Amino acid sequence: MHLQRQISASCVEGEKDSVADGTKFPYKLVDVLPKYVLNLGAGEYTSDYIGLDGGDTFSVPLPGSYTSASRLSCCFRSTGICRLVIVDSVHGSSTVLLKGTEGLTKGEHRGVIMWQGHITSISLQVPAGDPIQVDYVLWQIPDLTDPDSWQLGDQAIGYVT
Amino acid sequence: MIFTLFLSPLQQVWPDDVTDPAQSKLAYRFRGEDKYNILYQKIEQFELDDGSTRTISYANYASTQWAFIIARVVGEVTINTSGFDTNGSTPITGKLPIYGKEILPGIGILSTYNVSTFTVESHEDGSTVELYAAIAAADDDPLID
Repeated sequence: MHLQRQISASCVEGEKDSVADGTKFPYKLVDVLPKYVLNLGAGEYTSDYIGLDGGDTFSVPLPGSYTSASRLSCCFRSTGICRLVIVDSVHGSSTVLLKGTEGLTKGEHRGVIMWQGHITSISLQVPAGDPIQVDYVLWQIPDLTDPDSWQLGDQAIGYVT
Repeated sequence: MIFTLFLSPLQQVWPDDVTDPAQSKLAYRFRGEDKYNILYQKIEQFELDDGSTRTISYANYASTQWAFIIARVVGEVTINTSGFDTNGSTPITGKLPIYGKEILPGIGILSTYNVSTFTVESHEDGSTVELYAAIAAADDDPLID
């Protein structure tokens, strides 16, 4: 398996749908270059898109080959409010609220949470109320200093010979 | 001044060698095209040695507000939070680790609320952090108008 990660963020001046000036970027984040592709072993990632009702609890399946001796990259997106209960073998237990909104009144703003840890378990708990949709991807971070962890070659987007 | 934040988290998985990401057969694509109203923001860059901490402070911040953090990390840090559960009264604490190297920096993203304190704690000497801390708002938030 092979994985590419590219996270980008940019902030512009302007309100709602009428961005006043798209040329001023107080903040920009550009992740690694597209040519970098990680090699993953079998069973080193898991992902899904699920619907959860108010009051539901969901235990997130971790990749089958993963153990908490390695690090796991975790990313979740949610249409609403969700409680994440995270157990990390190094940092212990955490409870974090993930906030997103949907609908015409509050607007479509999905909440995102992303981190990299020695994860033992992740549980999603939805407060009583509206259902939410959650998509997630979890993958084991290989040894980033080992060349064998990378697929190197001509895979860059826009590469021209 | 109101700002708009665009966030695009992209992670894609292929079963075979990737010769051209646009052409290769995907196993899974996690892709967001998310947009947020931003009331307040600040950007900090700093370096922390193992065990050192730095508090993230917001101006005119009420803990019930929608806090948004993006961190790019070379090294290892945790974003430590303390606040309250969805009921507004049960205390909760969080510790989100962010880890990466120059070739693949750690990226931490946190979209949350009901948090009283945010602290960045380093777990590796020389960890560098590029931090974006913002207050977001739903479309019907009167503070936008």
